[in-house]
Amino acid sequence: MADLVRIGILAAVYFWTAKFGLMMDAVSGFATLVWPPAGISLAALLLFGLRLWPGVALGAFLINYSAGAPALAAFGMALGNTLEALAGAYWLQQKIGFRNSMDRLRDVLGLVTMAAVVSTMISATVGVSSLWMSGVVSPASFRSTWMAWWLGDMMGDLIVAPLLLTWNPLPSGGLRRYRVVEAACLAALVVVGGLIIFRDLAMSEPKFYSLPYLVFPLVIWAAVRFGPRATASVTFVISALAIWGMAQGTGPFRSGGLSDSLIYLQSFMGIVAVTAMVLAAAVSERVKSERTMKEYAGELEVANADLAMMIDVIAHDLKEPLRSIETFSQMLQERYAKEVDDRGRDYLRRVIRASVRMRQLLTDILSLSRLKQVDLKRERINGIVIAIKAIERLDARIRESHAVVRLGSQFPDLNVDKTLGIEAVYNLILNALKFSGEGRPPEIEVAAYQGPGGAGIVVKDRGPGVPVELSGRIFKLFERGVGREIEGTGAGLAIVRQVVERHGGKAWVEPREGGGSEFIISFGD
Amino acid sequence: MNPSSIGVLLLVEDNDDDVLLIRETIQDANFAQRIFIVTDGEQAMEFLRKDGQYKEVPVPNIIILDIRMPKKDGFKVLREIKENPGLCHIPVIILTASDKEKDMMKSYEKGASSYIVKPAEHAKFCDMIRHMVFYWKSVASIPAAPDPSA
Repeated sequence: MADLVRIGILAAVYFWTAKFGLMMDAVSGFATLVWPPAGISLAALLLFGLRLWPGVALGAFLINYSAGAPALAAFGMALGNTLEALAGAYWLQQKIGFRNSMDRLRDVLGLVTMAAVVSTMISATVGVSSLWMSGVVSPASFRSTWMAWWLGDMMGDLIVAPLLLTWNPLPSGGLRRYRVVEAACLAALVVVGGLIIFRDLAMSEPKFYSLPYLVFPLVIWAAVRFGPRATASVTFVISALAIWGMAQGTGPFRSGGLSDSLIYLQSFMGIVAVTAMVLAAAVSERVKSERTMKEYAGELEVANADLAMMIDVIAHDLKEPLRSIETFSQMLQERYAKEVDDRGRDYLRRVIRASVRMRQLLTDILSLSRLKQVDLKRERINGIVIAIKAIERLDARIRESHAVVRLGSQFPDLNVDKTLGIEAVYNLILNALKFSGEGRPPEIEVAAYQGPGGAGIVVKDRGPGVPVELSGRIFKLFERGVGREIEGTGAGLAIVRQVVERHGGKAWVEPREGGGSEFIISFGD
Repeated sequence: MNPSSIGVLLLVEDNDDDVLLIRETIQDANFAQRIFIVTDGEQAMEFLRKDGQYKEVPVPNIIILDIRMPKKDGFKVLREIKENPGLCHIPVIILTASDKEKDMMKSYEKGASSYIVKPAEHAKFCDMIRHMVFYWKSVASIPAAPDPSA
């Protein structure tokens, strides 16, 4: 029942808007350059379903028959108009999954190509052929009639259909006050501009042929600031004012007869409509992708914080039973080692060793997780201060290993969180202390770095060097470039990387001239 | 009271293993004459207020308190102790697995006398308890309870 009503309404609307179109100096009496029904029928079929096609057929037949076309010709024209609407709507829905909001580039391009350009050819060809076969159109005027028909239908699809589609459903939710003011300004300028350009307001003779270009800032404003709905509305209003002006004999596109003038005007408005709709869709897509990116970034931040907290909690909860295992096995070793045989004592040693290692790993995980959460307190500080503080922290280890640590000169000023900077250099020197040449104590140089990635510090050792294939991996958590014979968990360099990345810098390793490695950290520009 | 040891110690600790360790080490070090153990914050406050089953218990001279505990955490217990005029004189030692700076700062802000992170190694744990015992027996003096008639 609802569909029957809709079909009836569609037929009536089709009829009356077509009547208005036919008043605009229709070529050969039927092919008008202003044909809103093409856009109305396309929008109706897209909004309410293809089953509304009888409304198009009925409206088209009645208008053409009442305009004086022979019954067979009126039937042919109605067939062409119906096929046009059906084909346009079907292709848009099936081929591109058309969205009525027209806020994607594919929707706009689909409407322009499949509906406005291609589907309208069906109607023009079938309709004009029917008129020709009925003798209404002579072979000589076939081409001009076909062109007028095609262009008129195309404009219906480009200007009327987007207006109906984008306003359905009606927008919910209000605009902020400054947006309402902006929209009102735009609307006022559209009307005043339209009247100036197309109704020769404020001038007796339209000698300014560049005046129509004033339309572009208005549609661009609508596209960029208000999206497809406003763009379709502005385009429609300007187009309506232009056609009204043309009918009244005003505007810059006047040239000879009305239909000739309309060809210029509609071509111009077609270009305006397509440009504006494409721009509006592109802006909408960009705004949407920015919003999505922001949402993802927010979600990612929350997920990261949750993950860091989870790591913290897990590491803490694991530490407690582990402390019991370690302590009680140590007590067992201290107090009851004599009561078990060598194998039993070996087992006990292994339990203790494993629990100590696990504790170290958990401690490192906690350090790394805290490093991710801590707020950076950047300050301008000379690199030598960082280097000296890190070396001081390792004083005992340096003495113990008889290492030779040389400190370079001319360190740059660094914009760095002092505590974290020291932590990074500390870990680099600690790493270097583990590696030395055969039978020699470690030889370490802590020097200034200035180069790609900004200012930083380099720690050089005389160890066995890092194979190229491992140079990226060793900065990952628990990735070790050496076997268990070298102490450590493999978290030190991961901590270094975390520190410099939080500063926007980089950490990497290069071979040192004469053997060994250079571990370089930069703290960004 | 044995002058070389503190009279009564209240240990508030939910971890059974830690209870055993702390108790053993404290006993070895002859830190306190009597050790009472409660396993959560609510029990601790009942003990200190002498509620229910704790009617006859003495007022402790020192309290060793864990932070992460069921029912009522160490921070709340510490705050209630320090807000209670009859209990606020008792030194409270926080003994916890947390090495977070914010936990330490919070403990001192709420009136803890010291903050000790439980070491994982048994030898260090014993050392730490011995240091604590030395401090409270030889360096610091345990404050006397306020005179109720004053």
